[in-house]
Amino acid sequence: MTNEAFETPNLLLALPEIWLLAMACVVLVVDLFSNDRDHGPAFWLTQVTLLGGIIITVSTQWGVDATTFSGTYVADSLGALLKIGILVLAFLGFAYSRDYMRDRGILKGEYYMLGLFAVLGMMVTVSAGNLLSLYLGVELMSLSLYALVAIDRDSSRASEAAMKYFVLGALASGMLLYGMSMLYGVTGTLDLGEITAAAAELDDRRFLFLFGLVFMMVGVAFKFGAVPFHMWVPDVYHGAPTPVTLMIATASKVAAVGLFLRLIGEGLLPLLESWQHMVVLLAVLSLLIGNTVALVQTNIKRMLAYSTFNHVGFILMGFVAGTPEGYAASVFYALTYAFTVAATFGVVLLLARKGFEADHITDLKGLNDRSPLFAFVVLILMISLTGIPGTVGFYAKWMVLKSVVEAGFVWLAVLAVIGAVVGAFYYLRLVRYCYFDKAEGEGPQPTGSGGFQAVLAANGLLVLVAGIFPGTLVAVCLAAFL
Amino acid sequence: MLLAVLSGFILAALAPWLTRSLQDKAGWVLALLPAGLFVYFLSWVPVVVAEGAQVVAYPWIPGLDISLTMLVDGLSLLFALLISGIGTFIIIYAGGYLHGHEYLPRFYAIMFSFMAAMLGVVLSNNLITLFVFWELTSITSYLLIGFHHEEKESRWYALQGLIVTVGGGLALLAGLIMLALAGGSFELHEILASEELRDYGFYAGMVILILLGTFTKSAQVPFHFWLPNAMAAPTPVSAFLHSATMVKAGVYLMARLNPGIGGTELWLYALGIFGALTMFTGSFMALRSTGLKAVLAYTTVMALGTLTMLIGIGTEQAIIAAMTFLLAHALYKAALFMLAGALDHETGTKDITRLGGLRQLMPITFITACVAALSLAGLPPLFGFIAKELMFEATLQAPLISTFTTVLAVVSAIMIVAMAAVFSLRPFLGPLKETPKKPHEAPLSMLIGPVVLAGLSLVFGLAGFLPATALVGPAVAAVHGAPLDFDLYLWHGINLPLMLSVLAVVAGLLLFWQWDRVLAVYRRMTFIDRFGPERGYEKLMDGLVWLAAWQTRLLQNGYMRNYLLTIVLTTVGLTGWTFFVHTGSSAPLGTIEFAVHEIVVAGLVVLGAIVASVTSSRLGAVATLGMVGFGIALLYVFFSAPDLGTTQIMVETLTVILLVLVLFRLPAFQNLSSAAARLRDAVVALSLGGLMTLLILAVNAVEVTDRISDQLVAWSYPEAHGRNIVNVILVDFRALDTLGEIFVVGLAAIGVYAMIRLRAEDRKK
Repeated sequence: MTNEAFETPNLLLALPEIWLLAMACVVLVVDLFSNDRDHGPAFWLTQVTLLGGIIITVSTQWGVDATTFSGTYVADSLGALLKIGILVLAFLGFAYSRDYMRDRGILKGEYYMLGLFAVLGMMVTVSAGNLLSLYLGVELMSLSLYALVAIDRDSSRASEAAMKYFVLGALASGMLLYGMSMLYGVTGTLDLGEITAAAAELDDRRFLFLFGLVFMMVGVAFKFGAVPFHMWVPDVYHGAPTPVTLMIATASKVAAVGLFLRLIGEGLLPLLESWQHMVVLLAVLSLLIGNTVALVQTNIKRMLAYSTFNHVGFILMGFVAGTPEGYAASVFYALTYAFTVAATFGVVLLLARKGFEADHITDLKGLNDRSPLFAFVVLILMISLTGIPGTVGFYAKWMVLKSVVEAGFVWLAVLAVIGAVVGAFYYLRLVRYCYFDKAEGEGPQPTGSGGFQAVLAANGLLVLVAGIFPGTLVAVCLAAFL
Repeated sequence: MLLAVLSGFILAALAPWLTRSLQDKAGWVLALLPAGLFVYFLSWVPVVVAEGAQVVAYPWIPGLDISLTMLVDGLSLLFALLISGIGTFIIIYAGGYLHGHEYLPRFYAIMFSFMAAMLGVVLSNNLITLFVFWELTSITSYLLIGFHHEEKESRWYALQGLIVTVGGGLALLAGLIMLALAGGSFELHEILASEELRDYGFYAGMVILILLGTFTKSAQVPFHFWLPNAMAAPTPVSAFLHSATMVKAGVYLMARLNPGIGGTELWLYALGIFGALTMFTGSFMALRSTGLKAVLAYTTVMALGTLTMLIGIGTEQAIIAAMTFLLAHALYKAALFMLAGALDHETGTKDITRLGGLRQLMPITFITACVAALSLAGLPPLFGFIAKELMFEATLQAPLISTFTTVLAVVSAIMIVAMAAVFSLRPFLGPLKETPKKPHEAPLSMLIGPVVLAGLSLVFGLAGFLPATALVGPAVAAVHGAPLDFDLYLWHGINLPLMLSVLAVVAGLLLFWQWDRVLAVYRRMTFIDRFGPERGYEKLMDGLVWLAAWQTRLLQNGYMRNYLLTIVLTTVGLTGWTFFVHTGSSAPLGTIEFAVHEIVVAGLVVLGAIVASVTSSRLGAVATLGMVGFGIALLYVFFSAPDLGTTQIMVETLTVILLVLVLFRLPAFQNLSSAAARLRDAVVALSLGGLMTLLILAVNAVEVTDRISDQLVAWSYPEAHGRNIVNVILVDFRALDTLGEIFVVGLAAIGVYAMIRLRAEDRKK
C-alpha cells in the first residue's frame, strides 16, 4: 500500500448520481413543506429528476470510458445504457403508480424519496469500479426496496413480505460481503480492475478466489431472484403494493445485470471456467422451476413472479458464454423484458381500483369489450413475453440462444426453448381471457388518468415497434461492450 | 417481391374497414389481392424456368445477421402459386360461407395476415425470417381455429394446435441455429450450397430438432392428433390452412432442406418410416370417420404422410412423385373441403350417415364432388391418378424400406378409395334424408372455387405436360438440387404400379360396399381413443400442472425457515463442491494454536449458541445470544483489535436491550416445530458451521497479502504523530469509520430510548 495524495475527483463524470442525490434531498424537503395532499410537487419533481437524469447520463456518459473517485466510479457506455434503462423504468413506475397509491391512502412523500434512493443505489451499482462502491450501491438499493415493500404498513401481507425480503436479503448481502472480503484477502485490493488482473495470474491461492466467487455468486443470484435463491420473489411480488413490485421486477433486474457484469462477468472473467458451470446450474434450475410453477398460478403478480425465473434463466444464459455478444444479449434481454413487464404491471395498475386489485387472471375477462386498446396492449405484451417472433421478446431470446449455442451449450438452448413453450401456455391464457371471455359483473375498467393511459399505451406500442425495428437497440447493446 | 409478401399484412389492417363498407361484395373485392398476387407469381414462372433460382435481398437488422432475403425458385413458386391461387377462391368462398357473420371483418384480417405469413415462409431465404413467418402462421392458425370462441371445444383445440406447433417450432429454432452454424450462414442458398452439412458434428441432433418442427407442423405421427381437432375452425380455414397451405409448411421445409441435409440413412428412416406410418394412420382413421370434415382431415394427414415419406425416400422418382402429389392434393383437397362446407352450410349437418339423396337438389356440388373424389381416389383421367402411379413407382424403388412403404401405401390407397366413394356418393345417392336445414344448391361464391379446382385436376390429368414443365419441373429441380428430365402422362403401359392401382380400386370399392359393417367393427376398437397420442398430450399437460402444485408445496410454502434452509443448503453445496473439486482432498488445511483463555471464551460462545437454540424461554435465548456477542467481542480484544471490541460490546448491549423490549410485546413462546424438524435444522446448521470451519482452516494455511497492521504501526508516529496506535487508528486513520460507528450506536440508543418511553407510557395507562 502506498500513501497516495488526495486527488480531487472529476465530479462531472459522476454527474447523473450527484444530480439524483441532490434532487432526492430537494424532493424530501419540498414534500415536507408542501400542503398538497396528493404530493403533487414531489411527484412532478421526481419525474423531472428522472428525465433530467436520463439527459445528463446520455450527454455525459455515453461513449465515454473513464474513471473517477480514485477508480471507484466508472463512467462508460455500459453503465450509461443500464442507467438510462433504470431511469426510464423508474419514470414509468412512478407514472403508473400515482392513482393506485392515492386510492389506497399510501401515497406518501417517502414513496418518492425511497424510490429515488433505490434508483440512486442501482445507478451506483452499475457504475461501480470498486468492491466498496459496488456494495454500497447494492445496499442502498436493497434497503430502500425493503422499506418500500412495507410502505403499506397496515397490510399484514406486505409486512410479512418485507420481513422475509429483509431477512433473506440481509443473509445474501452477508454472503456477498464475505465473498468480497476473501477477494480482498487474496489480492489486497478492492479495485475491480486490479482484481481482474490478479485473477488472471493464477497461483496456489486460486482456490481462495474460488470460494470468494461462490459466495458472491450466491449474493448476486439472490438479487436476481435466480432459483434456488428465489423463494422471496413470489411472496414479495404478491405482498408488496403493485407499484413497488413493478420497481423490483424491472429496474432492480437491470441493476442486477449490472451487478453481475461488473463483479463477475467482467471482474472475474479470467475465472470464466470456474463460474460458467455455476451460472449454467442457476439458469437450468430457473428455467425448470419458473415455468412449471407459473402454470398453476391464478394471481397475475404471482404468475409474473414465477415467470420471472424463466426470464432470469435466459438472462443468465447470456452470461454463460462470457463473450461481449453474450453480455449484449443479456443486457438486451433484461432491458426489453423489463419494459414489457413494466407495461404489464401498468395494465394491472390501470384496471385496479379501490377494493379491486385486478391481479387475478380472471379479472381480465372481457377486457376487449371494455377497452380494445388495452386488450391489444396486453396481447402485444404477452406474445412478446412468450417470445413469439415478430416481437421484441423473440429477438431477445434469439440473441441469447445464439450466444449459448456458439459457446457449445446446445442442450441448454433446447431446454430453454422447451421452457419458452410452456411459457406460451400461461401467457396466452391471459390473452384468451381478454379476448374470448365475457366480463363478469362490472369487469375490468381502465381507471387511470389520461396521462397515465397515454404513457401506458405508448409503452405497450413501443414494445411492438421495438419488435418490428429491433436493429437500433441491438446495435446500442452491442456498442456498449465494444 | 417484398411488397408481394407484405401486402397481405397491409390489407389485413384495412380488411375490417373494407368488409364493413363493402358489405356483401367484400369477398369478391378482397379476393383481388390474392388474384393479383397469383398473376404476379405466374409472371415469375418463365424467369425461373429459364434462369433458375433468383435471390432478392433487402436489409433489416444488420446487427443480428437478419435480412429480408427472398429465394424464388421452382419450389417456392409452386407454393406461392398454390397459396395465392387457392387463397383467391377461399376469400370469395368465405364471403358466402360466413355471410353476415358478426366477426367476418376480424376473420378477413386474420386470414390475410396468415396468407402473408405463409408467403413469407415459402419465399424467405433467411432462416430467421423464415422462422418468424413460420411462427406467425401458427399464431394466426390459433386465432382462426378459435374463431367460434364461444364454444369451449374450439378454444381447447385452438390451444392444443398452438402448443403442439409452437412447441415444435421452437425445437425447429434450435435446429435452424445449428443449421446456420453448420452452414456458416443464415442464408438458405448459401447453406444449401455448403457440402459439409452432413458431416457436421451434431448432424443427428440438428436433423431431429428440425424434424420435430416439421413433423408437428405437418401433423406427422405421433403429433397428428391436433389436425383433425383443428377442424373446429370454420370450413374456409380448414380448406386453406389445414389442408392446402399451412400444414404443408413442414413438408415445404423438408423439401427445401433435402438437397442440403437429406440423402442420409437417418433422413431416409426418419422421414420414410414416420411418413409411411402417418399415411397409414391417416387413412385408417379416415375410414372410421363419419363427419365430412373429419374424413377430409384424416385424408389430409394421409397426404402429408405420403409427401414426407416420398421426400425421405429421396430418389429421383420419389421427388417427382412428391411434387406431383403435392400439386394434385392441393387441387382436389381444397375443392373437397369447400364442397364439404357447402353441404354443411346448406343442410346443417356434417354427419355423412345423416345425408342422402341430394343429387337432384345440389347437382353442381354432386358432379364437382365426384370429379374431385376421383382425383383423391387416384382414378384416370384425373391428375390424382398420375400422382398415385408415381407414388407406387417410388415406393417400389425405395432403398432399404421398399417393402414396408409399398405395403402401407397399397393398404392406405385401398382405404382412401373407399372414403372417396363414401364422400362423393353417400350424401348424394339413395333416398333423400331429413336434414336440419332445407337443402338447396350453394351460391356461386361457394361453388366457383371447387369447380375451377376440380376442373384443373381434370385438365392437368389430360395434359400432363402443362404442370410438368411450368410447375412440377422447376420444383423438382429445387428439391433434387439439379434439374431432371421427365414427363407426366396417364398411360405408362401395364406395369406393377398399374396393377397395384387396380387392386386398390377393387378392394376399396368392396370396403365402400361394406362400410356400415366396417364402422361397427371400428366402434368396438375403443383402445384407439384411450391410448392415442392425444391422451399422451393431455397426460403431459396434467402432469405439468401436478408438478407445479407439488413444487409449490415443497419449496414455496411461505415459511421463511424453509427458504433459509434452501439457501443455506445450496450455498453449502456449491462451496463444498468447489472445495472438493478444485482443491481436491489434499486441501492445504492450516493448523491454529490456541491459548487457554481463548479456548475458554470460545467454549462460552459455543455454549451460549447451543443454549440459545434449545431453550424454550425467549429471555433466556436473548441472554445467551448476548453471551455469544460479548464472547466474540472479547476475542476481538485478545487479537489486538480493541476498537472493534468496543464497538461490538456497545452494539451487543443495545441489541440485547432492544430485543428484550420488543420480545416482551410478543405472545407467549410456543414450540411449533417437531423433533424431526429440529434435528434436520440442526444438521443443516452444523453443515454450514462445518463448512465455515474448513474454509477458515484453509484460508489460514495461505499467506495473504501484506498485513495492513504492519503499515499502520509504521505510519503511526511519522504520519500521525501518535504513540498510542489504537488511538491513532480510531481518531486518525479510521476517523470516518469511528464517526460512522458512533452514529450507528447513537441511533440505536435513540431507538432504545423510544422503546423505553413507549413502555413507560403503556404502564401509566
